Amino acid sequence: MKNKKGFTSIELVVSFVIVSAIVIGLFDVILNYQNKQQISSYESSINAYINEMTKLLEDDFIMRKLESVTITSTSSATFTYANQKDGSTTSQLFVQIADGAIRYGKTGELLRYSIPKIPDLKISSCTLQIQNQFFLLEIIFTHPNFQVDKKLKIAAPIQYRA
Amino acid sequence: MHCKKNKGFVLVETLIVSVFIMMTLSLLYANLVPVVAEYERRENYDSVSMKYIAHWARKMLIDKGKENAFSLVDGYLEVTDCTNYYQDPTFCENFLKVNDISNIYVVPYSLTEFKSYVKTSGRFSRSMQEYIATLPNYENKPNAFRVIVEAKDPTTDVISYGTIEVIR
Repeated sequence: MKNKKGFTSIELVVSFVIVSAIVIGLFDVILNYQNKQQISSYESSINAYINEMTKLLEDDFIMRKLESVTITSTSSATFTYANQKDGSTTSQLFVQIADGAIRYGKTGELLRYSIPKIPDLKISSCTLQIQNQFFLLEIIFTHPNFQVDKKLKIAAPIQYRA
Repeated sequence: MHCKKNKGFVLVETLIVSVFIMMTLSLLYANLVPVVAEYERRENYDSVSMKYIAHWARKMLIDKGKENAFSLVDGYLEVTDCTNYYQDPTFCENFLKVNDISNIYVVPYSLTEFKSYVKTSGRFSRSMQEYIATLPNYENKPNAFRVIVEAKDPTTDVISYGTIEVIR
């Protein structure tokens, strides 16, 4: 004979409790995953920015042949190259810590490279120095959710001769 | 009168389907894990900064390296000793220091033999073994070598690797 009985209220309550527990558990997992995903996307953005700036500076140091560096302040420097670019043999670099940007280019025509628009991301320090005929640049980027600070670090030889 | 069949799955049917699904999932997992691991490794090695360090190491080897800097022994050569392998040891020492370089290797362009040597010789660190395993084998090229640099990645401060080809 066909069983026409529905669920009992106890069965329904037990099912609801189990489904609710699973949903709450999944919600926590998804929320946690979402946070991790966001931090990872922040890290990718800042890594892309660091790569872009590294390429920009290193390509000039290599292709135009870095002849001399004058450090004009704790966060700015002037470079002189053996080879011209856009009719000039010099370039300037300004690290604007408060504005969160790096400005670089031909003297008087500097281009502004802003750090990615990420809440709480900032440039925390900038070090420029010349050590044993190498120009050393270190810019540190911090974010409260990064486990390790990100660094733009370049060591380029000055007056490199074959 | 037609009688409706109300039976569900029997135990054997359920078990067979479960085993089939589990096998498919385990196969997927086994194939996916190495792909993810390789992606992660590639993300950590040969970064833009490491490529530029490798570029300067290559330049130093070509411009300031002695003749013996490309005389491979056991299929590779560690050229980190500035006095033995470079005409300008001071520049070499400064270069290693400012870039936190721990080792520079010159290896053949084709990595097939070097890869198996790294795996079996026990002379290389685990991180180096892992890095080498991620590289393609490459076809042999005349007068071509590879420079492999082991240094602290400037962006992350973690030991990393970078490689670049050298044509002599």
